[in-house]
Amino acid sequence: MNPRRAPLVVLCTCLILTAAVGQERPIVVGSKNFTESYLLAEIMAQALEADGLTVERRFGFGGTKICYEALRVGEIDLYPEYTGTLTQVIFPDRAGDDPALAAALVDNGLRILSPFGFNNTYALAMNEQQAAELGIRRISDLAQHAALRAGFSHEFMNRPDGWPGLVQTYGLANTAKGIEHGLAYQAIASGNIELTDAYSTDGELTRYGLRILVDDREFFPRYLAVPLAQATLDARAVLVLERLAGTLSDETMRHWNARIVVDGISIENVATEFLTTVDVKFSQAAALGAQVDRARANATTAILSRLARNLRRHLELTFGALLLACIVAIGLAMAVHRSATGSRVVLYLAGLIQTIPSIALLALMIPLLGVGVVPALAALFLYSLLPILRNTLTALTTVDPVYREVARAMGLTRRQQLRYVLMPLSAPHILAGIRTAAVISIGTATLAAFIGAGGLGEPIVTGLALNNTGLILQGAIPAAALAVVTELAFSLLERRLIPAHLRAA
Amino acid sequence: MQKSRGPALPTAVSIRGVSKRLGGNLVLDDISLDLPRGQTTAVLGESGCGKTTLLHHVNGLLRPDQGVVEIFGAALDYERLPELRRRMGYAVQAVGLFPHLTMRGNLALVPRLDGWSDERVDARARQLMQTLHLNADLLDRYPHQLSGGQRQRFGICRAMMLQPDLLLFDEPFSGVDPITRIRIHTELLALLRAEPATTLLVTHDVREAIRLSTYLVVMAHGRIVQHGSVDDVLASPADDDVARLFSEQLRDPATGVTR
Repeated sequence: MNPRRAPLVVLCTCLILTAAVGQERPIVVGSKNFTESYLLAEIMAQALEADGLTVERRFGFGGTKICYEALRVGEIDLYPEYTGTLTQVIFPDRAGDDPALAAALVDNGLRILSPFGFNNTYALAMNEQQAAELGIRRISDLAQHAALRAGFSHEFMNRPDGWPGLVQTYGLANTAKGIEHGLAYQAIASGNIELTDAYSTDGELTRYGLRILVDDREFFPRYLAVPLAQATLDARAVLVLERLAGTLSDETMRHWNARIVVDGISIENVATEFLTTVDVKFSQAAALGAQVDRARANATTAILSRLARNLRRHLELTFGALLLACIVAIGLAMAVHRSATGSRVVLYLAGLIQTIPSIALLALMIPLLGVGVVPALAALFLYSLLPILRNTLTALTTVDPVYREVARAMGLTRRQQLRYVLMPLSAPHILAGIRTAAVISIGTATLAAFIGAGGLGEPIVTGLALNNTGLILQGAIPAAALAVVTELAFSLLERRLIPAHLRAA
Repeated sequence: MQKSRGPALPTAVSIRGVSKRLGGNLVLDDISLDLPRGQTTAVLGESGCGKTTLLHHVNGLLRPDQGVVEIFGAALDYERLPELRRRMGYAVQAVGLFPHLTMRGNLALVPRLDGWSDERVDARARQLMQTLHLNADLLDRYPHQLSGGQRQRFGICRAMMLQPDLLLFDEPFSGVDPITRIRIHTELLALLRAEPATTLLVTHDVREAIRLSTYLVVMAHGRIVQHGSVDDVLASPADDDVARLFSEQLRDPATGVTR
């Protein structure tokens, strides 16, 4: 191996090790990637901070399973969850009653604290005006309007207490397709769909002029928001969080959600606003924190420093994974290229990994490696393997037989044949493979934010959840620019490393 | 093996009872052949007669199904091939100069692995290039920047860098025009006079075989049809096919008269 690469390998190893073990643990608050989850998490975080506790925020996990898994393996200490989600999604095999749920939680070393007060259950929403024209008030009215097209979040499409159960209970025949929840309201506004799932406390309902259809057969279970925490959560923290019990009703929750999504006020500031209404003790500390937050958030330098942090993390993820993939893929290719069977098996396995959707692969990593940088690196590494492996193997096996024969006949050992003849002749293809892997990896790394690894995906995921286009662009534009710059950098590298007559056209 | 004619020369390569099947065809059928040390032996024959396969057995690119190959008095040790092959220069029709290396890189590759200094490599390269009428500034060129004749000459240079005891040439001159080919023949003969090496030349060109070698081997269908000194073989072809091979190629195109 080239000795110049050694420092990079060391750097990468250190990166992984520090990410894996180097965490001093404050109270880690997590959230899923939608507005209310962000807001409740931020409220809990500020309440804990107001009491002098140290808090780390790991917001925006991409779905219930991912967020719950992060809690179960101890990556986070608590996050806001809903009782309905616990019984329906997390413990579907247990009986739905409270003692059974409590037992299931104990088995997993978890506990729930007192509910915040409101019931954010699933609901079906459609355009107010259209609903009035068609005379649709209740879900059962939909049975007469099977032509209305529905677009549901992927989770809702598949939950037994979601669309499948709804179809059975109400005898509905509408066509339904999966759609990212953050886009569903826009899809209604632009006339692509007429019906979607909503949360009953969603602040966006007012903005888009949507009507919630009455659940006249009481199909949807109750979704009381609760702090879901490690059973071992600090007693002082528990006391603080219990003071939030019953402080939010359906109406007030919708109001605070709307402050964010309709009025465009930052989550931090809305959390502070809310806390000042709850408790004098919170209000003083939180107001102080909010001033700092506001000053911080408004400064251009703050945006730039956040961009720099995200960019650095993105580069670490992408190129860390790329470097590992280069070492493994090229090494593997050199090891198996003489055997047709070996080559086929290796390519087949790498191809198999590639067919796993990236978000699924990320989710699969969590039980093995937890959440954060390490599983993201692992997933990106696995994704980068195939392009490099395929190009290296193809190049090595298609070197002109004359050069192989001459290299052998000159008296080069197998190792020397590889090093001085086969690898240099394959270099253009190998470099092209690395280039492809790098660009794919930059794109895929934006999804790493779903499992709490940060990077340029962080503003994208948050922006998607909050329907904040500006925030989405703060991640999307640098990510696109990074892909372009990487392409250019590889072109330059190719010019430097490979003689003109050997370059791919 | 006793020779019927000529002085008994020490043997550099001895092939005994070698047979080889490739893809179901018997390509070599019980071949026995000795290469006298320091002499050039040409193997003649039509395409597919097995002459290249025979050459590949000498440097172990192929292993015989039956029979033995002896080099310098010992059976070919297939575990030590890289080491042995460095004592055998190798040049082929397509030349096989590595396109990612300059001429200097091509010539220096194996000598450097053998621990030669850059100065020694350079001196040896220039010595060979002088005889082959190659200008020193060509050393920095890549193969695609050279003419066909220059590439063939560098192919010979690379084969001879380590001053090998044995040279294996597989139609190394067939890609160039007749005039250039004759020039290269002359230059090669000069090189071999200065540095005698046991040479095995595989060719289908009778004139080339006559010009370069002392001994002729004629092959057909995986067997040796005739073997002897050039003059003996030319004077008394073993059968009509051998006679036709000579008469076809040696007829002077201007006069129609066979040599």
